[in-house]
Amino acid sequence: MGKVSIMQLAEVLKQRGLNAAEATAFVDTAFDIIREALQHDDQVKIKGLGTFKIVGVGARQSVDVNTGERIVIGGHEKITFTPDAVMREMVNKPFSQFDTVILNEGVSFDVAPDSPPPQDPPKVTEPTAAHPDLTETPVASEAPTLTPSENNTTIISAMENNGFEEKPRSYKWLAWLLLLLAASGGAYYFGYREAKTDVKPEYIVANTVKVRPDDIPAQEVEKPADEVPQEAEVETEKKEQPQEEPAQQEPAKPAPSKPEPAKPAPSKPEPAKPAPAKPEPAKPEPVKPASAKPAPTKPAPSKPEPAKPAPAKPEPAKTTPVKQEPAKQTPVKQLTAKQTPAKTPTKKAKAKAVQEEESIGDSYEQADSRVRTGSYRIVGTDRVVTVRRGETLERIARRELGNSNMVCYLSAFNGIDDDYPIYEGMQIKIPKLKWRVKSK
Amino acid sequence: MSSRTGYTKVFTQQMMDDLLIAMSDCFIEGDSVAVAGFGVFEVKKKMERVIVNPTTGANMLVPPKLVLNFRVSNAWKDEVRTGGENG
Repeated sequence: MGKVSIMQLAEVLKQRGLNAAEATAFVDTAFDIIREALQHDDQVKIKGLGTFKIVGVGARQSVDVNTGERIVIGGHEKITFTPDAVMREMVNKPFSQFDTVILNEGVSFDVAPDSPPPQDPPKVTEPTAAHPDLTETPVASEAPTLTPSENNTTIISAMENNGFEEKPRSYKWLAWLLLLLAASGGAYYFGYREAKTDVKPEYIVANTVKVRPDDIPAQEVEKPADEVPQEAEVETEKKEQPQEEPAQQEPAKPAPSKPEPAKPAPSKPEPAKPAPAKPEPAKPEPVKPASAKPAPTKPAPSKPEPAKPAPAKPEPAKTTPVKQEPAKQTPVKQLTAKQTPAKTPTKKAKAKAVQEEESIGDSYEQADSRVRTGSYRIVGTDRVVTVRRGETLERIARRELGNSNMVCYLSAFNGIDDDYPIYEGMQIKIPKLKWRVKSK
Repeated sequence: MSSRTGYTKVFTQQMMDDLLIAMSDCFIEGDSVAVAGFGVFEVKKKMERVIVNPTTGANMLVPPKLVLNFRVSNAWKDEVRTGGENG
């Protein structure tokens, strides 16, 4: 970053017909005026630039740097400058595409710290209390990125500390995830065997599935070294308690699901552990009834498709964390409790819906490879339209789905070829499409 | 200001605008602008940071950004300190 002087600024004025000397004089005058005005008025607002203010600083006690003894620093005035909106934006142009985002979980500092884990009620005071600190410390010290986290609960700070170091780990986690997806395909057909699967597990995974797009970097989350052994530990314990699955399911399922649920689940318990009391009583309630519900609704044979990674994941994941062992419930609940209470019902409902949706879409995927590999999943019927005169499937796809390339969904959903001769008055079912979550 | 400089008001206004534009251009480039006796305008980068939204309590990630910073020249600063403009 170079330095520009008044001379250069004055150059610009030359185009107005001033010579160098005049231009410089003008610029000097301008700033002098600002200065005098400020002395006179305490505040000078320049549109397009900002506001200069004289602020009084109160007297305070401090230590004399040379002698080390306490002295009183008298109150005095200082000049402050605040850029106005226009100027701010101009200056920030290189970064203008960024925006503030809300984070649910995720610990690595470079993405976001974990949201306050289960203890929402107790936590409320803490974050707000910490907030003033947060605003100050980051500004003061950019390098020690962990300082803001320290202002949060120690739990979070611990996790963030780990998360920060985990940065490189994020890719490992992604690799794990991909591996899981690949492996889960094989274990997929076991999935339907579980008549009764909790919402808890699918909900956990549904969470991960759902938040993945924006949280992927964050999602790698709390995987500090000390947690890895915990994960293994938790997994094995979870494996021990198959609900009603035959024993043979266990080996296949836990393997692929291991990284998935283990990762979010044990990591969540970490922060949750210190204050598990509150969320837990709340969690068992919503979780339990929810778990009963998906059981009947999830017909076993509806998920044959191994190629469906998304449903495959919730499937195997479901089995492992399902276990009712109280100790195990804790981590699961912690995770569920992790979501703000308001989110909990939605997530569970969503998780259930996900299951149902997948089952619907599967048959279409089997029929048409384009649907299988497409970016969307067919999750039901949106509506039915009647073909008008001179319309083609492409046109209908463009109108209803937004893109004529999506005609594959239309034809697959209606069981016709792309170039089937549709006639006026024919009824075409428009599928409800859901963006297939990409695991990245 | 126009009375001081001897130019017409309109002209002055235009020149002020030009000046500001010139300054902004510098900032966009990333250069700092130093005005003798006045101070220095600098462009500083702020790292992204996590904050807690006080109303919702949700954690948010503020992206990195560039901000404009003004440091007063020492002469002026002392003057303000000692003199204590009518505050």
